[in-house]
Amino acid sequence: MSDAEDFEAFVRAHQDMVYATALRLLGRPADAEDVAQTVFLRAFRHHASLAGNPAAPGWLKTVATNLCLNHLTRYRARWRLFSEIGSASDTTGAPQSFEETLPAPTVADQPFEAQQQAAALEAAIRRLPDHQRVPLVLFHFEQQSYQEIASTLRISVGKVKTDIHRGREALRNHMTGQRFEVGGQK
Amino acid sequence: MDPVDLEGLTDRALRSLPTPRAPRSLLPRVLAAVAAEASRPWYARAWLSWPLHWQLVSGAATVSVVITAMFIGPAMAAAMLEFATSMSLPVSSYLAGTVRSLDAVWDASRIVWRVVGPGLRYVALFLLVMSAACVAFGTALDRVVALGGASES
Repeated sequence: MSDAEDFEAFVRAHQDMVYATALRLLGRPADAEDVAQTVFLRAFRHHASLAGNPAAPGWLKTVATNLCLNHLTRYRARWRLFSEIGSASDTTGAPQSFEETLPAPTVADQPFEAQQQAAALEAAIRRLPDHQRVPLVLFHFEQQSYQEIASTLRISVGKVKTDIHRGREALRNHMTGQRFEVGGQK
Repeated sequence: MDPVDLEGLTDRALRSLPTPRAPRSLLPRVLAAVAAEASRPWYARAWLSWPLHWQLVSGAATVSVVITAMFIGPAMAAAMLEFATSMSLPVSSYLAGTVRSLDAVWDASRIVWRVVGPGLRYVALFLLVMSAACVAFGTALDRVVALGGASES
């Protein structure tokens, strides 16, 4: 297999994971695709050391997370302001684009209802405002602790806990409105 | 709802989500970006991606230029001022002011270098040794991980 084919196989193997990480952190498919492209461009520069390396997925995820946080940093002032205000309108978020209303691709072998519920939950995550969605994703998907999240986002632990709790409440309210079963309970 | 229950329920719901699929447009975009990157000559890419020997050469050249400017800069400036004065150029007074300012900056830099310079050699040596140790450790770790991966497969 040539280097180009090798790298293409590398991208195919990890693109879903990288894209999912970026999509869940950024909440916007177009931005997530841009970040994913940048991640793989950097991976190409280090391909010699990444190819066949079991640490490659972790490296890709770390780079994707850092690029997403850098992308969101430009909105840090707005982020802190909304986080401190913490109004009830937090769950409304920014106006949605048509693309964001489309359900995320799902695994074909799941029952149709489960697919719909999963798509609705993914859409609900993307609708969360940045200051709730990012800590929530870092906690539940990246398994970071409150302290690690606070350190990464340069906010207090208390703010992290508050924002994550509000994010969970928003998801639960959305899912309750959609009659979604969370862990078997309505 | 108890916050602990909410955390558990949310965690179970989110962990059960399938991984969103990357759009079909991502792979072609990545390959196009990689092809564009690969077609650029090495000197048009980021400095960190240069071949190591060119990084060392360019770094040494930059340091040499800075040090040379610090030591011969005042002499060059004085020569320029003398030339401008001898030619009675209208800008000589402006040039004189600029040269005096640069002279002050160069003198200050040389004083700082005289104070800090001797210690910098040891700092540079320390950084060099630590960098070499990191490279050696990283290479050894890579080999151990690769061997471990190969034996598992």
